[in-house]
Amino acid sequence: MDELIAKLKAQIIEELSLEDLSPEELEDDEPLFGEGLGLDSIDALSLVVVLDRDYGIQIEDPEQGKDILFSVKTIAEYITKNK
Amino acid sequence: MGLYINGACAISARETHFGDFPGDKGTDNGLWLKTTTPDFKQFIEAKSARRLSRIIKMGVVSSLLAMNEADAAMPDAIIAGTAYGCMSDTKKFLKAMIENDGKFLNPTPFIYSTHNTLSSQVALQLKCKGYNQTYSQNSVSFESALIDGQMLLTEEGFNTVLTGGIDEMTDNLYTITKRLGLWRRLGEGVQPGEGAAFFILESQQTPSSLARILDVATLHGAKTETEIENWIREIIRKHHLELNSLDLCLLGKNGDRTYDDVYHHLETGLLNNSVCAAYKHICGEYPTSSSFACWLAAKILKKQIIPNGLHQQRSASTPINNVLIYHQHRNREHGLILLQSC
Repeated sequence: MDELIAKLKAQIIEELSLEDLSPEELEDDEPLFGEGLGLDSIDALSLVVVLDRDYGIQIEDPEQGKDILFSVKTIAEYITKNK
Repeated sequence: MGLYINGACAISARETHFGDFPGDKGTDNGLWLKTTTPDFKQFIEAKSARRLSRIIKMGVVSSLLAMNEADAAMPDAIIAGTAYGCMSDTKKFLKAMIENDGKFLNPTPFIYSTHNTLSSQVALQLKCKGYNQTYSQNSVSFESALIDGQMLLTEEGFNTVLTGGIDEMTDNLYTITKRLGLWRRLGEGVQPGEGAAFFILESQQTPSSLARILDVATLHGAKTETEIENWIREIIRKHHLELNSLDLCLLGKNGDRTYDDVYHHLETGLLNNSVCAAYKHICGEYPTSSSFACWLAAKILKKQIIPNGLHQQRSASTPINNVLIYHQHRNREHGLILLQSC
């Protein structure tokens, strides 16, 4: 899980152009949207693309998306469960 | 009612963004004149900047600096002219399409690849909800944007219009345009280029006014030298000026012998009594380079100094009251801007 979390952090930073952020600064449990990291709906779309492209995982139910993409940890857990 | 340039900023290869005349040497990457940009982080929050490509940052920052110079509040309209649009995001999007066989496309480069991203991102950064338009008319994109701004101010009662011309050069664009032979005919000293120049236009003169725009015009299609002369003559006449009252003419010469003859004909004929100078060897050749010429002319009129290195045949006498900018692209599009001191 730790390895996956580290990989996800690097991917999120790269994919979302969060150049001023280092993987160490991104907490595992930190909310990615809203009051947390402040990502927006375009970022959510980009994360959905990453999951599909790099992990072969599709989020079938859009209602689930909010919970799955809540933090790096929730994304890692979803990947682990569905891979 | 007049039309005044009350603030302006040009980001160019000659470090002009803080209002100084072009330096002696351009930032040249060996292939084209690349802009020397200010530190974008000083103007755009990191959170907002993360998705913005270099061209959008250049547009936003040159807009902010033009507004600062004019001490302008929120513009009523934002109008950009660009021929190439956002090339680096276009490349990212197309590359991802090819690499992933049209699947798994990140939406961001697509969203930011469209031409109208420029003026809309400037609006988002300024939180301007007014009129927003982007003109893409090849080498008269900037003039088209200016004409729209002129109409909004003179016919629609707008107070402040932010308008500009902007184009970027990228590795891919250079490779493609080189393959198309676009740069083969450039004369010595003229290189491909890029830049951003934005202006605050207002109908009222202020202490910061740089120049008054008397006219902006475009002409389309191949024209004979006589037709071009007549077109220019008519515009000068319309403003009750004499040809010899043009103190400086900035011409879009780029060394291409096939099409530079148009300029030579003007220099030795219609504009024989005026001081004619060039500008493309300073900013580089790109479709909206007349926006750089417009910035340069406005600064010349404000400072009443012609900087060194414009390749003029003789010195201009002062005061410098009227400056004509004329350029054409392969005798297919012709752009003209007439500025007056104020």
